[in-house]
Amino acid sequence: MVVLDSKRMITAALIGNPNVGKTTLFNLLTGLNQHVGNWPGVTVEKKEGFINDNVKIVDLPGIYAMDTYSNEEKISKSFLESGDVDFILNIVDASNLHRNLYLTMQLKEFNIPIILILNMVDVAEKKGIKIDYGKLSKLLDVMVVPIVASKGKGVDKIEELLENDIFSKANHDNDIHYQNDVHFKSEAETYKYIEGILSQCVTYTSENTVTITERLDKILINKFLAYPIFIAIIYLIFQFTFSWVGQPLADLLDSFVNDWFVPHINILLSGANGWFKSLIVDGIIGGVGSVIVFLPVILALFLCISFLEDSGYMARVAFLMDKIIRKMGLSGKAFIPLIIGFGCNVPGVMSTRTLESEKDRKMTALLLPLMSCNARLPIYLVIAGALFKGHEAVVVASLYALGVIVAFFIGILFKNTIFKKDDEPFIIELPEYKLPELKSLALHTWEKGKGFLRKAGTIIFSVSIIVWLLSNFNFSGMTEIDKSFIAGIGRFISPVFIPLGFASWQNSVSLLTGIMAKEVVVGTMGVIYGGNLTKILPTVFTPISAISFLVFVLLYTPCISLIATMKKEYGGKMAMFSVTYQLILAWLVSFIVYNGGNLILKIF
Amino acid sequence: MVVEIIITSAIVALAVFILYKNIKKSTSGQCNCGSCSSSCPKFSAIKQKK
Repeated sequence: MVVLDSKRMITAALIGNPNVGKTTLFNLLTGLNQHVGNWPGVTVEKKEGFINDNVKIVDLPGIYAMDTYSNEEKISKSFLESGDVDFILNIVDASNLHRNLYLTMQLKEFNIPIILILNMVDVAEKKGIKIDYGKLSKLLDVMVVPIVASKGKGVDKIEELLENDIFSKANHDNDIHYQNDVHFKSEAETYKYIEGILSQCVTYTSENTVTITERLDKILINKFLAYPIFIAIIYLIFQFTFSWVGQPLADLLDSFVNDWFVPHINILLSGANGWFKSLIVDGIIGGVGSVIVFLPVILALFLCISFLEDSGYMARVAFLMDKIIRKMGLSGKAFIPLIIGFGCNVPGVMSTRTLESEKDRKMTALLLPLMSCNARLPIYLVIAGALFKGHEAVVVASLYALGVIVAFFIGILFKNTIFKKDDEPFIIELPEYKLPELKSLALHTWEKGKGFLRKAGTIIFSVSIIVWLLSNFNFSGMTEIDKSFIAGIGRFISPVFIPLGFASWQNSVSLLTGIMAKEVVVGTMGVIYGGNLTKILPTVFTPISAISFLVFVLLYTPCISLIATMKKEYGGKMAMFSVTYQLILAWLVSFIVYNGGNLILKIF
Repeated sequence: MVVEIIITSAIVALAVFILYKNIKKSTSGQCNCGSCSSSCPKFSAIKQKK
C-alpha cells in the first residue's frame, strides 16, 4: 500500500493503448496544448503537466502491452518501475475493452493505485455496447470513470478526484483498492480472464452494429478503390493549395509586398543614404519578404493535412502503404515517421524511436530526409512560379513524388546491402472517423503559421542581413556585389554545379546558406538577386536547369537541425553518412535530370 | 549618417545574436522546424500552467 504525504507532489502516470485519447485528456487536465493526432504514435516521450500545485501528470507513449521491445514500452515500463509514480490513470477505449484491458491487467502487477478511465463511451453506445461501470469497477477492483475526452465530458470527475487528493484519503477510507491479486501465466489466460469479466458487465445490443466507420472503411480501404481514392485526395489537396486558395492568396500578398509595400518604403527612405536604403529594401524586405509571401500556401497545405490527421484517414494511409513500405525493407510502422517528415524531418527522425528494430530505426532515419519537408516548399514555389507559371501544382507534386520514388529505390538498395533483415509484423490501430472540429483545425493551422512567421522573423531575417553584408563588402570596404565576399565564396564552390546546369555563384551561395534552414535559399536569392524573383529567375535559369536545381534542393544535405538530431539520435558516423550519401545522391540525380533533359530536347 | 550607422549596427548585432542563438539551438539537436505536422511528437518545453 502506498502512503502519501499530502504536502508532497503527487505524480500520476497517464497510460493506455495508442490513440485512445491520452494526449487529449492530458491537455484537458493540465491546460497545456500538446499536439494531438487521430492516429497512433503521437506521443514518443513522456510529457509532464500539472493539475495544481500538488498533482503532476505524466503522459506516457501509447502501448499495447509491457512485454515487447519497442522504445515506448521501455520508457513506460522504466517510469512505472522508478518508484516515482503514486497512481496510474489508465485510459482505455470503451468501445474496445477486450483488447485495452490486457494492458490494464499488466498495470495491476505494478501494485500502484489505478483509476480506469473509459474514454469514448459515446462511441461505445453508438456501437450498441452497454457497460455496467459499477460492476466493472468491482470486478477489476479499480475505480472506473466514464468520459468523452473529445467533448470534455466526465473530465471534471477526474479533476475532482485528483484535486481532492482522493489517493491520500483512500488510504483511510479504503475506497480505492490497488492490490494485485491475479497473476497470469500466459496471454491466453489473461484474455480468458478479461472475457470472463466483460461477460458479466458488458452487454451488446443488435442495433447499429455497422458503424459509420465500418461503412466508410468498406470504401476507403477497399482492395480496388483505396489507391485511386488516396490519389484523388492528394490531387484535391494540391488543387486546394496551389490553384484554389493558397497560391492565389500568396499572389495577392506578393503584389502587396512588391507593388505597394516596397515602393512606400522607397519613398519613406528617399532621403537616406543608398547603402542604408539597400540594407532595408534589398537586405531585409528582399530576404524576408521573398519567403513570407508563401505563408498562405503553407497554411492551406497544413489545413488539409490537419484535416486528414484529425479525421482518422492518415492511419488508413499507413495501413495502405504497408505493402509498399515493406518492399523497401521497412516495417509498415515506419510510414508514420516518414509522413511526419513531410512536415519537418527533425521530428520525423525523432519519431523513429517508436520503431522496434534498430535497423528499422536507422534505415528510416536515413530515408527520411528524402521526404520533401515543408521548408523546401517556398523554394519550389518561387522557381515554379517564375518558370512554370500555371503549372506550379504539377511541378511541386512531381518533386514530392520524386522524393518518395528515390526513397523507395534507396530503401531497396539499403535493404540488400547494409540493412539486411527479416520482416516484422505491423500492427496499427484504425481509429474511428471523426469530423474534425473547426476550432482544432484553426488552432493547428495557426500553429504552423506562427512557426513559419517566427522562422521568417529570426533565422531568415538574420541570414538575410548577413548575406547583405557579405554581398556589399570585401576586404577593401564597400564594393560591388560581383567583387564582394559572398561572390568569392560562391565562385569557389560553383564549379561543382557546372555539370548540373546552375553554376552561377548566386545559386551556389543560396544552396550553401540553405543548410541553415531550407527557406533561407529563397531569402538569400531575394537579397542577392535584389527583390522580385518572379521577374529575375527566368533570366538566370532555363526550364531544365531550374528542374535540376529543384531536384538538388529536394535531395541535398538537410538543414543543420536535422544533422544535429541525427548525430544526437544515432551518432556522428551516421550523421556524416547521411550528409555524404545525400550530397552524392542529389548531385547524381540532378546530373541525370539536367543532361537527360537536354539530350531529350536535342533528339526531339 | 550617424543615425543610419547606429541603426545598421543595431540591426547587424541583432542578426548576429539571433543567428548565434539559432545555431546553438540547432547544433544541440533541438527542433528548428517552423511549420511541422500537427502530429509532431517533439514537444516544446513544458511549462506549469496552473
